[in-house]
Amino acid sequence: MNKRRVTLAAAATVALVAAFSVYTATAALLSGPDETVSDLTTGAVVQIGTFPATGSGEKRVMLLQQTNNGLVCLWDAPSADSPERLGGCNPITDALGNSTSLWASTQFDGGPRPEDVTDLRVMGIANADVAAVHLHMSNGVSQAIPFNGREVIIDGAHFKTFSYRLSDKGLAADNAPTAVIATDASGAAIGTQKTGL
Amino acid sequence: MCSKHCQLRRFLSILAISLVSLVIVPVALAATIYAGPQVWSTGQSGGSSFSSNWHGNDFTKASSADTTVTFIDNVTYGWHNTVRNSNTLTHTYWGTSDVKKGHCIAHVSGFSGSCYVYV
Repeated sequence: MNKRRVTLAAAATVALVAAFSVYTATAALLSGPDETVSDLTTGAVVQIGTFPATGSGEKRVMLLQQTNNGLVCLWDAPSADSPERLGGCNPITDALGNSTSLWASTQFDGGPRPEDVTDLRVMGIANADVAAVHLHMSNGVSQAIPFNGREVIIDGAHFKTFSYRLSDKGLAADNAPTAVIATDASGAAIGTQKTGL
Repeated sequence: MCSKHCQLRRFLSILAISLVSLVIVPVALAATIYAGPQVWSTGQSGGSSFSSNWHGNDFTKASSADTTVTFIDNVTYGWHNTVRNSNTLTHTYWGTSDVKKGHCIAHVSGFSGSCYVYV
Protein backbone atom coordinates (compact mmCIF):
# COMPACT_ATOMS: atom_id res chain seq x y z
CA MET A 1 0.00 0.00 0.00
CA ASN A 2 2.77 2.47 0.95
CA LYS A 3 4.65 1.62 -2.25
CA ARG A 4 1.49 2.27 -4.24
CA ARG A 5 0.96 5.57 -2.48
CA VAL A 6 4.50 6.65 -3.20
CA THR A 7 4.03 5.75 -6.88
CA LEU A 8 0.80 7.75 -7.06
CA ALA A 9 2.38 10.69 -5.31
CA ALA A 10 5.31 10.61 -7.75
CA ALA A 11 2.92 10.49 -10.70
CA ALA A 12 0.99 13.42 -9.27
CA THR A 13 4.20 15.42 -8.88
CA VAL A 14 5.19 14.73 -12.49
CA ALA A 15 1.70 15.75 -13.64
CA LEU A 16 1.91 18.89 -11.53
CA VAL A 17 5.24 19.92 -13.05
CA ALA A 18 4.06 19.14 -16.59
CA ALA A 19 0.80 21.02 -16.17
CA PHE A 20 2.51 24.08 -14.77
CA SER A 21 5.05 24.03 -17.59
CA VAL A 22 2.21 24.15 -20.12
CA TYR A 23 0.42 26.82 -18.12
CA THR A 24 3.52 28.99 -17.80
CA ALA A 25 4.36 28.73 -21.49
CA THR A 26 0.79 29.55 -22.49
CA ALA A 27 0.59 32.48 -20.13
CA ALA A 28 3.89 33.88 -21.39
CA LEU A 29 2.78 33.59 -25.00
CA LEU A 30 -0.49 35.37 -24.40
CA SER A 31 0.43 37.88 -21.73
CA GLY A 32 1.26 40.64 -24.26
CA PRO A 33 -2.09 40.63 -26.10
CA ASP A 34 -4.05 40.14 -22.91
CA GLU A 35 -2.33 43.07 -21.23
CA THR A 36 -3.01 45.26 -24.26
CA VAL A 37 -6.67 44.24 -24.46
CA SER A 38 -7.03 45.01 -20.76
CA ASP A 39 -5.16 48.31 -21.05
CA LEU A 40 -7.55 49.53 -23.75
CA THR A 41 -10.29 49.65 -21.10
CA THR A 42 -8.31 52.08 -18.93
CA GLY A 43 -7.71 55.83 -18.93
CA ALA A 44 -9.74 58.83 -19.93
CA VAL A 45 -11.63 58.88 -23.23
CA VAL A 46 -12.42 62.30 -24.69
CA GLN A 47 -14.56 63.12 -27.71
CA ILE A 48 -12.57 65.37 -30.02
CA GLY A 49 -14.60 65.28 -33.22
CA THR A 50 -17.52 63.84 -35.18
CA PHE A 51 -18.33 62.10 -38.44
CA PRO A 52 -21.65 63.73 -39.41
CA ALA A 53 -24.42 61.40 -40.56
CA THR A 54 -24.69 60.78 -44.30
CA GLY A 55 -26.74 58.48 -46.48
CA SER A 56 -24.22 55.73 -45.90
CA GLY A 57 -23.95 55.95 -42.16
CA GLU A 58 -25.19 57.36 -38.87
CA LYS A 59 -23.30 59.99 -36.92
CA ARG A 60 -20.11 58.71 -35.31
CA VAL A 61 -17.56 60.29 -33.01
CA MET A 62 -13.78 60.62 -32.95
CA LEU A 63 -12.28 59.81 -29.54
CA LEU A 64 -8.86 60.27 -27.96
CA GLN A 65 -7.84 57.89 -25.17
CA GLN A 66 -4.70 57.88 -23.04
CA THR A 67 -4.35 54.51 -21.31
CA ASN A 68 -2.76 53.65 -17.99
CA ASN A 69 0.09 51.79 -19.72
CA GLY A 70 1.15 54.78 -21.80
CA LEU A 71 -0.72 54.39 -25.07
CA VAL A 72 -2.52 57.17 -26.88
CA CYS A 73 -5.36 55.89 -29.05
CA LEU A 74 -7.51 57.52 -31.70
CA TRP A 75 -10.93 55.92 -32.18
CA ASP A 76 -13.79 56.10 -34.65
CA ALA A 77 -16.86 54.88 -32.76
CA PRO A 78 -20.69 55.03 -32.75
CA SER A 79 -20.58 56.84 -29.38
CA ALA A 80 -18.17 57.74 -26.61
CA ASP A 81 -19.11 54.74 -24.48
CA SER A 82 -19.34 52.14 -27.25
CA PRO A 83 -16.83 49.25 -27.23
CA GLU A 84 -17.02 49.19 -31.03
CA ARG A 85 -13.95 51.36 -31.54
CA LEU A 86 -11.94 51.34 -34.74
CA GLY A 87 -8.50 52.89 -35.02
CA GLY A 88 -5.16 52.45 -33.34
CA CYS A 89 -2.66 53.42 -30.70
CA ASN A 90 0.90 54.68 -30.37
CA PRO A 91 3.08 55.25 -27.31
CA ILE A 92 2.19 58.58 -25.69
CA THR A 93 5.87 59.52 -25.87
CA ASP A 94 5.87 58.96 -29.65
CA ALA A 95 2.36 59.95 -30.63
CA LEU A 96 3.03 60.16 -34.38
CA GLY A 97 5.00 56.93 -34.54
CA ASN A 98 7.55 56.91 -37.34
CA SER A 99 5.99 59.97 -38.92
CA THR A 100 7.16 63.43 -37.99
CA SER A 101 3.97 65.14 -39.10
CA LEU A 102 0.92 62.90 -39.55
CA TRP A 103 -1.06 60.09 -37.95
CA ALA A 104 -3.92 59.08 -40.21
CA SER A 105 -6.25 56.10 -40.05
CA THR A 106 -8.80 54.83 -42.58
CA GLN A 107 -11.93 52.89 -41.68
CA PHE A 108 -14.56 51.41 -44.00
CA ASP A 109 -17.12 48.67 -44.42
CA GLY A 110 -17.36 46.26 -47.35
CA GLY A 111 -14.57 45.56 -49.75
CA PRO A 112 -11.86 44.66 -50.40
CA ARG A 113 -12.76 45.74 -53.96
CA PRO A 114 -13.32 49.52 -54.13
CA GLU A 115 -16.74 48.90 -55.75
CA ASP A 116 -17.86 47.10 -52.58
CA VAL A 117 -16.58 49.65 -50.09
CA THR A 118 -19.11 51.75 -48.21
CA ASP A 119 -18.91 54.43 -45.57
CA LEU A 120 -15.21 55.19 -45.82
CA ARG A 121 -13.92 57.45 -43.07
CA VAL A 122 -10.55 59.06 -42.44
CA MET A 123 -9.31 60.59 -39.19
CA GLY A 124 -6.05 61.71 -37.74
CA ILE A 125 -3.83 64.15 -35.95
CA ALA A 126 -1.11 66.39 -37.36
CA ASN A 127 1.62 68.51 -35.84
CA ALA A 128 1.98 72.27 -36.13
CA ASP A 129 4.06 72.05 -39.34
CA VAL A 130 1.12 70.65 -41.28
CA ALA A 131 -0.82 73.38 -43.10
CA ALA A 132 -3.32 71.13 -44.90
CA VAL A 133 -4.42 67.53 -45.28
CA HIS A 134 -5.86 66.06 -48.48
CA LEU A 135 -7.47 62.79 -49.49
CA HIS A 136 -6.00 61.76 -52.83
CA MET A 137 -8.10 59.69 -55.24
CA SER A 138 -6.93 57.23 -57.89
CA ASN A 139 -8.28 59.50 -60.64
CA GLY A 140 -5.89 62.26 -59.62
CA VAL A 141 -8.50 64.37 -57.85
CA SER A 142 -7.71 65.54 -54.34
CA GLN A 143 -10.22 66.47 -51.64
CA ALA A 144 -9.27 68.87 -48.85
CA ILE A 145 -9.85 67.56 -45.33
CA PRO A 146 -10.49 70.39 -42.84
CA PHE A 147 -9.02 70.43 -39.35
CA ASN A 148 -12.48 70.14 -37.81
CA GLY A 149 -11.67 68.42 -34.53
CA ARG A 150 -10.50 69.77 -31.20
CA GLU A 151 -6.83 70.56 -30.79
CA VAL A 152 -5.25 67.98 -28.47
CA ILE A 153 -2.19 67.98 -26.23
CA ILE A 154 -0.24 64.73 -26.03
CA ASP A 155 2.87 64.51 -23.88
CA GLY A 156 3.06 68.31 -23.90
CA ALA A 157 2.85 68.70 -27.69
CA HIS A 158 -0.08 70.33 -29.49
CA PHE A 159 -1.77 68.59 -32.43
CA LYS A 160 -4.51 69.50 -34.91
CA THR A 161 -7.16 66.86 -35.56
CA PHE A 162 -9.46 65.91 -38.41
CA SER A 163 -12.30 63.51 -39.14
CA TYR A 164 -13.72 63.06 -42.62
CA ARG A 165 -16.45 60.90 -44.13
CA LEU A 166 -16.39 60.25 -47.85
CA SER A 167 -19.90 60.90 -49.13
CA ASP A 168 -19.27 59.46 -52.59
CA LYS A 169 -20.84 55.99 -52.87
CA GLY A 170 -19.61 55.42 -56.41
CA LEU A 171 -16.19 54.11 -55.54
CA ALA A 172 -14.38 52.19 -58.25
CA ALA A 173 -10.82 51.28 -59.08
CA ASP A 174 -10.46 54.53 -61.03
CA ASN A 175 -12.24 56.55 -58.34
CA ALA A 176 -10.98 55.35 -54.98
CA PRO A 177 -9.06 56.98 -52.15
CA THR A 178 -5.39 56.09 -52.33
CA ALA A 179 -3.72 58.18 -49.63
CA VAL A 180 -4.00 60.88 -47.01
CA ILE A 181 -1.29 63.46 -47.62
CA ALA A 182 -0.16 66.24 -45.30
CA THR A 183 1.43 69.35 -46.80
CA ASP A 184 3.30 72.28 -45.28
CA ALA A 185 2.65 75.97 -45.92
CA SER A 186 4.52 75.79 -49.24
CA GLY A 187 2.36 72.90 -50.43
CA ALA A 188 5.13 70.34 -50.16
CA ALA A 189 4.10 66.87 -49.00
CA ILE A 190 5.53 66.15 -45.56
CA GLY A 191 3.50 63.10 -44.56
CA THR A 192 1.60 60.27 -46.27
CA GLN A 193 -0.62 57.43 -45.13
CA LYS A 194 -2.00 55.06 -47.76
CA THR A 195 -5.68 54.19 -47.45
CA GLY A 196 -5.61 50.69 -48.86
CA LEU A 197 -7.85 51.00 -51.92
CA MET B 1 -16.41 5.97 5.33
CA CYS B 2 -13.69 6.43 2.75
CA SER B 3 -10.55 4.31 3.13
CA LYS B 4 -7.07 5.83 2.96
CA HIS B 5 -6.76 4.58 -0.62
CA CYS B 6 -10.11 6.11 -1.42
CA GLN B 7 -9.06 9.44 0.16
CA LEU B 8 -5.87 9.48 -1.88
CA ARG B 9 -7.80 8.82 -5.10
CA ARG B 10 -10.21 11.61 -4.20
CA PHE B 11 -7.31 13.96 -3.51
CA LEU B 12 -5.64 13.08 -6.81
CA SER B 13 -8.91 13.59 -8.69
CA ILE B 14 -9.37 17.05 -7.19
CA LEU B 15 -5.73 17.86 -7.94
CA ALA B 16 -6.13 16.78 -11.56
CA ILE B 17 -9.31 18.84 -12.04
CA SER B 18 -7.62 21.87 -10.46
CA LEU B 19 -4.60 21.55 -12.76
CA VAL B 20 -6.77 21.21 -15.87
CA SER B 21 -8.72 24.30 -14.78
CA LEU B 22 -5.49 26.23 -14.32
CA VAL B 23 -4.55 25.50 -17.92
CA ILE B 24 -7.93 25.77 -19.62
CA VAL B 25 -9.51 28.79 -17.91
CA PRO B 26 -6.80 31.35 -18.79
CA VAL B 27 -6.75 30.14 -22.41
CA ALA B 28 -10.54 30.43 -22.67
CA LEU B 29 -10.41 34.03 -21.46
CA ALA B 30 -7.33 35.02 -23.43
CA ALA B 31 -6.65 36.53 -26.80
CA THR B 32 -5.88 34.02 -29.55
CA ILE B 33 -2.83 34.78 -31.65
CA TYR B 34 -3.46 33.70 -35.25
CA ALA B 35 -0.40 35.14 -36.99
CA GLY B 36 3.08 35.70 -35.61
CA PRO B 37 4.99 36.78 -33.69
CA GLN B 38 7.13 37.10 -36.81
CA VAL B 39 8.91 39.50 -39.13
CA TRP B 40 6.43 40.50 -41.83
CA SER B 41 6.78 41.07 -45.57
CA THR B 42 4.73 43.35 -47.81
CA GLY B 43 1.46 41.69 -48.80
CA GLN B 44 1.74 38.95 -46.22
CA SER B 45 -1.51 38.20 -44.40
CA GLY B 46 -3.02 35.96 -41.76
CA GLY B 47 -6.45 34.76 -40.76
CA SER B 48 -8.02 33.30 -37.64
CA SER B 49 -10.55 30.50 -37.44
CA PHE B 50 -14.22 31.35 -38.00
CA SER B 51 -16.22 31.95 -34.82
CA SER B 52 -19.19 33.95 -33.61
CA ASN B 53 -17.23 34.73 -30.44
CA TRP B 54 -14.55 36.99 -31.94
CA HIS B 55 -15.21 40.67 -31.40
CA GLY B 56 -11.77 42.29 -31.24
CA ASN B 57 -9.02 41.97 -33.81
CA ASP B 58 -5.62 43.62 -33.33
CA PHE B 59 -2.32 43.85 -35.18
CA THR B 60 0.32 44.64 -32.57
CA LYS B 61 3.79 45.71 -33.70
CA ALA B 62 7.18 46.38 -32.14
CA SER B 63 7.33 49.62 -34.12
CA SER B 64 5.08 51.66 -36.38
CA ALA B 65 4.18 49.86 -39.62
CA ASP B 66 1.43 50.19 -42.23
CA THR B 67 -1.11 47.38 -41.64
CA THR B 68 -4.78 46.48 -42.03
CA VAL B 69 -7.13 44.54 -39.77
CA THR B 70 -10.65 43.46 -40.68
CA PHE B 71 -13.33 40.84 -40.08
CA ILE B 72 -14.54 38.53 -42.86
CA ASP B 73 -17.98 36.93 -42.53
CA ASN B 74 -18.60 33.34 -43.62
CA VAL B 75 -21.63 34.09 -45.82
CA THR B 76 -20.61 36.79 -48.31
CA TYR B 77 -16.92 36.78 -47.34
CA GLY B 78 -17.20 40.55 -47.34
CA TRP B 79 -14.99 42.72 -45.14
CA HIS B 80 -16.35 44.50 -42.08
CA ASN B 81 -15.04 47.32 -39.89
CA THR B 82 -11.77 47.45 -41.78
CA VAL B 83 -9.02 49.67 -40.36
CA ARG B 84 -5.72 50.65 -41.97
CA ASN B 85 -3.05 52.74 -40.30
CA SER B 86 0.63 52.82 -39.30
CA ASN B 87 0.16 52.75 -35.53
CA THR B 88 2.00 50.33 -33.28
CA LEU B 89 -1.45 48.90 -32.55
CA THR B 90 -4.06 48.67 -35.32
CA HIS B 91 -7.42 47.74 -33.82
CA THR B 92 -10.91 46.86 -34.95
CA TYR B 93 -14.02 45.62 -33.18
CA TRP B 94 -17.20 44.07 -34.54
CA GLY B 95 -19.73 43.39 -31.81
CA THR B 96 -22.14 41.18 -33.74
CA SER B 97 -22.79 37.48 -33.16
CA ASP B 98 -22.21 36.74 -36.86
CA VAL B 99 -19.73 33.98 -37.64
CA LYS B 100 -16.53 35.71 -38.73
CA LYS B 101 -12.77 35.48 -38.79
CA GLY B 102 -10.10 38.02 -38.06
CA HIS B 103 -7.82 38.92 -40.95
CA CYS B 104 -4.66 41.05 -40.96
CA ILE B 105 -2.36 42.30 -43.71
CA ALA B 106 1.11 43.86 -43.76
CA HIS B 107 1.69 46.64 -46.31
CA VAL B 108 5.39 47.05 -45.56
CA SER B 109 8.28 44.70 -44.82
CA GLY B 110 10.74 44.18 -42.02
CA PHE B 111 8.77 44.80 -38.85
CA SER B 112 7.96 42.41 -36.02
CA GLY B 113 4.40 41.83 -34.93
CA SER B 114 1.48 39.52 -34.41
CA CYS B 115 -2.27 39.43 -34.97
CA TYR B 116 -4.81 38.20 -32.47
CA VAL B 117 -8.55 37.98 -31.95
CA TYR B 118 -10.45 38.01 -28.70
CA VAL B 119 -13.98 37.71 -27.36
